[in-house]
Amino acid sequence: MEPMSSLQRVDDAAGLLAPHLSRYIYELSDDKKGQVREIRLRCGKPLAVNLTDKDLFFQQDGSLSSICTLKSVVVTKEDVSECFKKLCGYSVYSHQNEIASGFLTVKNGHRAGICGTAVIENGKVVGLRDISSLNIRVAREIFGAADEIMNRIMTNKTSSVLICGAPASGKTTVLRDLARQLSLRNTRVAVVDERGELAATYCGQAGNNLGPRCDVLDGYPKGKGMMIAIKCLAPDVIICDEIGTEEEANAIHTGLNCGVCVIASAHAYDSTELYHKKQIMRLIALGAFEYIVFLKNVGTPGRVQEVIKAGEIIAQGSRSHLYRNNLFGGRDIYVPQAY
Amino acid sequence: MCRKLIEKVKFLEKIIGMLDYFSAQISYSRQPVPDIIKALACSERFGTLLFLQKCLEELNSGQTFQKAWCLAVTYYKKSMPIEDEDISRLLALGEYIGTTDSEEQNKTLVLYQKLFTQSYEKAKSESSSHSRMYTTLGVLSGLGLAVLIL
Repeated sequence: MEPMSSLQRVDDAAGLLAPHLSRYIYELSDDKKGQVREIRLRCGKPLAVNLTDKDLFFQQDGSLSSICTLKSVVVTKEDVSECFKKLCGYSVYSHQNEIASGFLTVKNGHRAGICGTAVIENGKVVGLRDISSLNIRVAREIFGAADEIMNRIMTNKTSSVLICGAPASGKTTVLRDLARQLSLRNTRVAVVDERGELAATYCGQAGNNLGPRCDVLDGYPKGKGMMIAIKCLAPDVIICDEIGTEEEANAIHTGLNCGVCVIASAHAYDSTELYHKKQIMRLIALGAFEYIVFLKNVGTPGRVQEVIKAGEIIAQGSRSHLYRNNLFGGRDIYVPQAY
Repeated sequence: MCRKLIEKVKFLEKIIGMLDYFSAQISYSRQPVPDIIKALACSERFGTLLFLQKCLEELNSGQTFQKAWCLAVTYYKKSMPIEDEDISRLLALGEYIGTTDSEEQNKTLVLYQKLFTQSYEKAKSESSSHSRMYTTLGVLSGLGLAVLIL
């Protein structure tokens, strides 16, 4: 598959909407279209797009406005329903687990967040009905997003890195580019792509360019996928997105014992937020990661705010009462310490 | 008449086989509906169910699955050697496929398989009794002709 430009990707995501809505996005100027990050549909509300950092609403004349007016293009329940069916590929059963988790990943790696009425069984969300809103996040493949990390950390050898950032800071974009760059550098890469966002695999073929030495485990739960990769694929490095569970932490620990580098991402705005993540701090303490990278939350994806060695995080954390409580299973209450 | 009954039996057999294929794909590989339709339309066994090819064409042109299925069945309904009741069932099936989780999909498919199997059994029984009747008529006509000549 040929790589798509960012404008083509926006058009591709817009194609998931009903034709009378998608035309508004097709007709945007290239400059605005290149900035589209998300397309939002809400029942009975105006059609909205997120451009870099602001939500704008479409007017009937095709212009964008930051406020809703009587001339805004309103999304109907039928529009949301038709879009949802397209997102599922007319096959709800194919995506029933993802739907229960509140998202769908579609062809070319776009991800749609789904909002509706939960269907609960035995205390678990097993499905959704009456879909009320959809948030389609446009997948972007930015070559060079990982340049700064490669130049600062991986000039001579591949290291285990944890990439942290707020939502939409570009963690997935960076991981994608890291996989590609490492793969080009004679490194065997295994990508555990639980949500299908990294490789955008469709019918067995990766939609994103992850390089020639990359194996993709598409749809696998991260813990299981990592164990399969370690046992069967002999990777030099395993890459996965958004770790946090005990199973995932155990799988990374196993990889550590087998000499496999792990590059993963986690939601954490800064080190203080990272200290709240018990499983991740456990991994850092065990030496699973050599470096922790914090991304900037604004601007181009992949811009690095800070690179900290794992030892420094531990040292900073040991001065924090919260960290000690987390590591030894105490209560998660922050008690400010005087240094 | 006998030929039409034979065609009806064969058609219903293929429909039942198609539903079986759907059920297997949904249960084991959760393959999306458009991919199942493509595999069926391109297969030697089910390729003669022309409405599948039409459905695939409509899907490829951007139509929703439910509309594509409805258009395809409606387009070919006059040439289908089955009763109106079975055609209505085929149309209704398009409203259900792909709309629920795998467990419910399989329950629906099993129900439709039972309904089409009833029609198949009925058609098969009619076909066999009609063929016996026509065979007997043929033999008697031959004998009568022989007697006349003699």
